[in-house]
Amino acid sequence: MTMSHQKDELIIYINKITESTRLGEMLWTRINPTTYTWSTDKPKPAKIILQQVQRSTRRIIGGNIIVRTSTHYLFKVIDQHGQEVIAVDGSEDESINTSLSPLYEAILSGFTQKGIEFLKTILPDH
Amino acid sequence: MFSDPQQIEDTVSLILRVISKPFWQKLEFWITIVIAVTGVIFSILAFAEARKAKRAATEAGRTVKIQTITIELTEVSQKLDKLRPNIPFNEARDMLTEISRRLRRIISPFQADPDLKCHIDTLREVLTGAKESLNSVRPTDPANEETPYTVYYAIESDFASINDCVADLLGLFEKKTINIGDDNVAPKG
Repeated sequence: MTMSHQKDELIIYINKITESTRLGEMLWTRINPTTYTWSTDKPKPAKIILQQVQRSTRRIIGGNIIVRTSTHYLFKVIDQHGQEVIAVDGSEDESINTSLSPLYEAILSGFTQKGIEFLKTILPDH
Repeated sequence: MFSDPQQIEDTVSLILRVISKPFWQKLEFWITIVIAVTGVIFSILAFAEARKAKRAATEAGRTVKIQTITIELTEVSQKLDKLRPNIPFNEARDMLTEISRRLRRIISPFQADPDLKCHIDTLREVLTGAKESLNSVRPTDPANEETPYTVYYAIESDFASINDCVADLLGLFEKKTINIGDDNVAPKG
């Protein structure tokens, strides 16, 4: 199997994770404002970590500072022994980064929705 | 006292003879002028030498200060190189706070320097960016164990940028030291 096929397969699985997240089948935990994790015990213990990283590059052109900011995602799968089984850096592959972006948005949206639903439950009825 | 009229007349004529001669025709006048002019020349030379000595002392002090700064910048650069991949959030925060404080103290006296201004502004921006990146990985629950390498991935790019800016400033400060040395070299012959 070539690297290209492996990458395509990985993108298919990332898209499946995105869909499951949107459907609420995968519940993620917030580690910090830009990192989310999903854990499972069945069929075997494992953990998926998704982190959004923003990188800024600065260049001095004609005495002015030009700042260029890029956003990319880090996707990691960790097995029951704490070993990284998959570690993908979106900055190294644009197609993977593009498929990780909707996953991050879906997780974020799920968290916002959860917060709104909680808010609804605590507000007095009219 | 004078009792003889002849003696009085002789004395008056002698005084008149002396004061009727122009003062510039007298040797004493020229001796005084030469001494005064020599005094003025020596005063000017002494002033010029004192001014040069003051400037040299100021530049020497500046050189020592810049050398101290280059040593401090090198220390900061070495500290930045020691960023560990498994660094926890609180350690990274302490490290960034220390680096930021040291760098701002070093660069603040030179922020109006035209040669350094642009690089100093860039460094300030990068430091602010690093703080924002670190804040983006502040643990939601500090009691829980952090996910490995999360902090490192968030800040390593900013730390590399800080190190680049420090290296640029180091080079510029070293150049300034060389320039000061060149300026103070007296022409031979």
